[in-house]
Amino acid sequence: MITFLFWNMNRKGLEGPLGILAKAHRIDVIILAECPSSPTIVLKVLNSVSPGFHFPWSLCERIKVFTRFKSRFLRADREDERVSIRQLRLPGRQEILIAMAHLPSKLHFDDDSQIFGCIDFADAIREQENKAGHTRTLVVGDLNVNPFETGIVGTHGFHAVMTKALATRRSRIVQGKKFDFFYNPMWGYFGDRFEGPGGTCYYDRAEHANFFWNVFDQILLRPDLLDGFPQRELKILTDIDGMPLLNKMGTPDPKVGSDHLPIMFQLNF
Amino acid sequence: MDNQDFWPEGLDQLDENPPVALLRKQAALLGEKTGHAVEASIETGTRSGEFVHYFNLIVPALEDYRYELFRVRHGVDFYPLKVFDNAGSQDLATEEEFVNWLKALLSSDRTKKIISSLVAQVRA
Repeated sequence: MITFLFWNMNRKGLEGPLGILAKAHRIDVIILAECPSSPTIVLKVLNSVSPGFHFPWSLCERIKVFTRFKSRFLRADREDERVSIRQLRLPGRQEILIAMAHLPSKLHFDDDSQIFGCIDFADAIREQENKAGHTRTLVVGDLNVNPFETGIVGTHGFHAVMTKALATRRSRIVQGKKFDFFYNPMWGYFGDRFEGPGGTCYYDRAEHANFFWNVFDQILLRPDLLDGFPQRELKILTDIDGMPLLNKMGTPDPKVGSDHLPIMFQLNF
Repeated sequence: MDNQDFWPEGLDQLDENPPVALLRKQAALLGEKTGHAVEASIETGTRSGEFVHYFNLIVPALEDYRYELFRVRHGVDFYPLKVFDNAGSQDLATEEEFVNWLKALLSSDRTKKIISSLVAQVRA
């Protein structure tokens, strides 16, 4: 089982807590957004507490990936400043695609632009799937939209559905065209369904309509990966080795960590 | 009645240069400058009735690794157009503004750093 962690660090030097997380949970692949520190510094800290991490080469400025696997096993195929699509080829395992992104936020993009951003990312993924000849694809990142927003659910976007039962239908036809599904397990992490936070990031705006809790940090999986995905291991982390990441109000504490909570999950393939 | 032709003359003549022509010209020059370690290619698509041109850096030796440097979007009228790069997006009203923007971006330290990094990866 491979263990993944995604964390938007909000431009804070959180290498220390990250190292503790990596060791405590035996993380194999760390994916970071808004990490202000150089890969050299992060590697130094990670390897001082949990030796064996590498930083595979990449030009993507907004996403940094550290892994216990040798760099040659995680090869970048297609990137831009915010997106990195890579092949994970481990000995004895099937190859998968990992598509990672930190998409523009609502501060900088209006709703339409965010939809186009999701469509562009989804198009790039589909092209890489065609090139790879398979659809064993995992999407991870801060997509800066919620699971119910058009870019995530729309056919030209990710076409990501809320249950495994829907996703295992693999695709549907709309207006004569076939659109493949992703499964979005993050739907289940809104509100009070589980004990803990009501999402991955919290924004309290003085607006008439405000969700407060958002699930911008998401993972999406193609149906081909569902058999190897244990839902119970997908967690929004609220502490690091006993150090709480939430304040007394139960929201992310910026004094301790980021304004986003880390998400951790496992995958077998 | 059979010989009536209502179409105007000169349909295949352009009064202005399409932005994609300038992009293709610059893309064609990159390969030689990097010993063909890094090439540039333009992909054109459509989005909501507009043309979108993606300016990509391609590295054949890295199994065609692709890095999108920027993109340009415009309607049937070439200008104003919108450009998207690492700095965000901006509207450019004329060909002159577009040429100046393109020149600045392609000759920027960031672009040089990206291409040099790709070349170094090939040679490693």
